[in-house]
Amino acid sequence: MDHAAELDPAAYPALAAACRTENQLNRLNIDIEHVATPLELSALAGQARHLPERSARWLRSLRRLDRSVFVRPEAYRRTRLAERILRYADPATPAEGKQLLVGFCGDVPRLMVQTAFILQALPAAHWDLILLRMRDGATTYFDGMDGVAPDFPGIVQFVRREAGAGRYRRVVTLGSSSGGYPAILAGILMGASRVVALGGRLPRQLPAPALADLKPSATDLVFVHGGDYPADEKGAAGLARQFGGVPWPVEGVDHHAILYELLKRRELPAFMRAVLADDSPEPARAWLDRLRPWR
Amino acid sequence: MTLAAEPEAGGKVRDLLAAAILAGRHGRPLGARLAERVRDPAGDLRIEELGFDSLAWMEFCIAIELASGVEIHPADISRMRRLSDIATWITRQN
Repeated sequence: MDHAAELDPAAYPALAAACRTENQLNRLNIDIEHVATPLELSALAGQARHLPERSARWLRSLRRLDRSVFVRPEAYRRTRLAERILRYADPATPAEGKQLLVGFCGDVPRLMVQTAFILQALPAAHWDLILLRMRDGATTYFDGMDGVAPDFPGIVQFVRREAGAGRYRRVVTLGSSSGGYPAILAGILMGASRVVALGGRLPRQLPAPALADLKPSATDLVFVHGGDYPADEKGAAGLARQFGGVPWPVEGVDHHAILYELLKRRELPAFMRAVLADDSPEPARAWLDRLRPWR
Repeated sequence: MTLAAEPEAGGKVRDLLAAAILAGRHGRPLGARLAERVRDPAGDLRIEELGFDSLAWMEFCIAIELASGVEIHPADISRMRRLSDIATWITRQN
């Protein structure tokens, strides 16, 4: 059951109290972490005195990772475009003038860290996020998504149409882990300004040539990887050979969970601004030429 | 699922572990060699060979509890070294 699909913070205390075991509570909390906004987490924390101690402990652990979520939460509201496609936007700010980030989760239904932390790193006045998650047990977007489209181009068309991508001044696609490769193809199909793959690699099984042979025209491609993690460095190099683009090592990271490391370092907002090239006034190629390893 | 006494329990526990590992990997299958070692009761897979982070271990424990009713937590696993340790622990809970 997707507890978080219709998350109502007011309902959490009862849901948490009904969990008889730690694993049941972990299931509830993990599902919430996959989808909750900063405002929703902040609202949960506001009910701490009504929560079981285990829940309060969970919220404290989140607060240690990013206190700003609970102090000045970005004003995103969550709506559902489809079963596994969520939209995050501040309804007080129109799409025109904002940038659209289309995020492809990998096997884990989050972009490496809790969704609220991704959102908190993106000013809600300047960004909307469309978040795609594979259904439980699926390992690819290329077989389509139930209720959306039977194939990958159909998914992209759905997102473009339902998100109103044409209204935004700029579109960026981003994918984590096995979501990196679909993000690249989606970015090419959507004519995105930039594509970012975090810890991505070419899949073992490529999709049909009509997709696998796609090449970008005006899209920048950035392949982020742990600077001291050879497996992901190799993955980034493989993507660069296939598509062009630039591997971007994050120094001092020797594992796959790059964004988690940046979150702990309190560098996630600055990193997201840089890697998404927020408001860069320069021509894309000139900016790429100046990319340096992130320290 | 009810876990019977040894030796029948061995196969069922290994099935349970295999399913829980798949849950920890969010449905992404193991490579053939590693999958074979998971299934083999004589296998001596070290826990770190699974490459699980904290989220994956929570998903693993949730899957174990859902399938068998046996409650195991990441903190329990942190004191173990091999997959056979987890198998033994689960069997003893029953």
